[in-house]
Amino acid sequence: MTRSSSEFAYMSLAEAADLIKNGELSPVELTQAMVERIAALDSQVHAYVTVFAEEALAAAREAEEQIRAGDYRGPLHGIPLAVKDIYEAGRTTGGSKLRRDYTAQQDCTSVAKLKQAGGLLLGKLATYEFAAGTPTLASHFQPARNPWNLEIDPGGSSSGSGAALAAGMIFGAMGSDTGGSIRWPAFCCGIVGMKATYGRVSRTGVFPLSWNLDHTGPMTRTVQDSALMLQACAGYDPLDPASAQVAVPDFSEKLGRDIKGLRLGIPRTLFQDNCEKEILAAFNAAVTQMETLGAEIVNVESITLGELQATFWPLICADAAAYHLADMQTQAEDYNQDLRLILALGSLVRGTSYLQCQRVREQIRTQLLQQLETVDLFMLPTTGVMPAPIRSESPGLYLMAKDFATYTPLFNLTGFPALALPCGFSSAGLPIGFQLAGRPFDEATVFQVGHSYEQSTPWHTQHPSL
Amino acid sequence: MNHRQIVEAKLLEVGIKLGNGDLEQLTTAYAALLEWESVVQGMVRPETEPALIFKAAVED
Repeated sequence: MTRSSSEFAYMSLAEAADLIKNGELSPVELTQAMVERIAALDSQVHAYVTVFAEEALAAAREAEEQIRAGDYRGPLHGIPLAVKDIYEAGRTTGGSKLRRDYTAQQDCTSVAKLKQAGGLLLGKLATYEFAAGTPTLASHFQPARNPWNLEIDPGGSSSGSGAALAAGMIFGAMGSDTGGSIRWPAFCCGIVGMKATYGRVSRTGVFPLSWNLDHTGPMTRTVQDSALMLQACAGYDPLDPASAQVAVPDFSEKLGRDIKGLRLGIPRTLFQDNCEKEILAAFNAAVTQMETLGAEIVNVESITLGELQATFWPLICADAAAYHLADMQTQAEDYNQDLRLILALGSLVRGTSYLQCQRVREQIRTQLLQQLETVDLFMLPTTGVMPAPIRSESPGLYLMAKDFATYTPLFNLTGFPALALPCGFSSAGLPIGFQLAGRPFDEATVFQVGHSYEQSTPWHTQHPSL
Repeated sequence: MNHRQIVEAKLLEVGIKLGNGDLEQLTTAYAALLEWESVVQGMVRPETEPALIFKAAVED
């Protein structure tokens, strides 16, 4: 590895953008450094499924010429980026044997928008199979590893996105989140993940898991970088039926503003009795820090974890089963076992049960919207369990176990924007994080509070040794 | 019919064939599915009847 690739590894996207804008850093040099770092480290981390080295370097040369000629497009111009391998762009496998040879005919909307903003697509990142299930050493594609401990799962399903960022092998990535697949790897890898409001970012050309729970969004190392990436990929897309025709504000506008007087609602009933002690302690310390920064902490009523699981799992399983039905009928054995079981279980959900879940989902959304009239954001742990070692065989349906406490689906059910960011480390040296969720389409306030916390703590400055 | 038979019948209905190992795990999971149904049934409030939601939205 060259000296420069290590130097650039943990630079933020915003810092790199400033240097490029001022002509102090070449996009070609930056991209070359990332290519070298990937070559040196990815045989351990397995974050990338495909690396577009030549294409990205050619695009970097073009960007360099454009910027030199005065055609600077903004902070993503000349920055290497990567996307989860369910985003259609070049070879797109979905992390599955079923699509191992599939090549997209055109870029999905998000990739097109990132490229339009000057971003360089450096590669495709590992995913749990079709954004679900649990990868194992027996999976068709190598599972991504957690850069903080290569034996441990980096979380998912946007596993490669989290791992590549934590390993300093990319400046920004796109993930997808149907039940926490941006925020769970953000927690596990100690990075920042934004599940934007339902309808905010196009899903056109992204392999579906659940049409009514799927969200997309950026994954980065800092909150500021997250706001910059969201700026580029947000906006109405007539090709996505769920896309919202709402104005796209300046997501960075509130960064740096203090949070005095903002009210943070804590739904303790959801997590207090089922969250691992180390996670709860780090979360409580983050709450204290928010108070120190001037926020007002308010306890709010909430559903229980059992109620969340009972509402969420039938919906996601049935939706996924509907999408995958044809392949399940003809080549079920080609799926990894854990996903095959999820899809089969989804086929067992009764129509009446599905409708009742949707009704309860609406109740939950209404309750939380009412609470957001008296609090500005919700603050809660991302999950209540630390990631497990990567398994050699399928763990079956363990994600649905009562004691697998994860709190992310609450904001897939409601569609509210939710930001995951780090707040400490476990005794084993693994990252711990929490999430902030806000009013629909008010990502700017979520970023404001997240940024204020981040800048007052050291977590985002710590990186794994590789 | 016991749970195993129900699972097999329902999968057959939608044209999905699975091995014995999968069916065993699904039979256990089916019990969880029924438990979830009962939890959700206990949470449903009458005012979320879909036609009422539509009516409220129209009146707004």
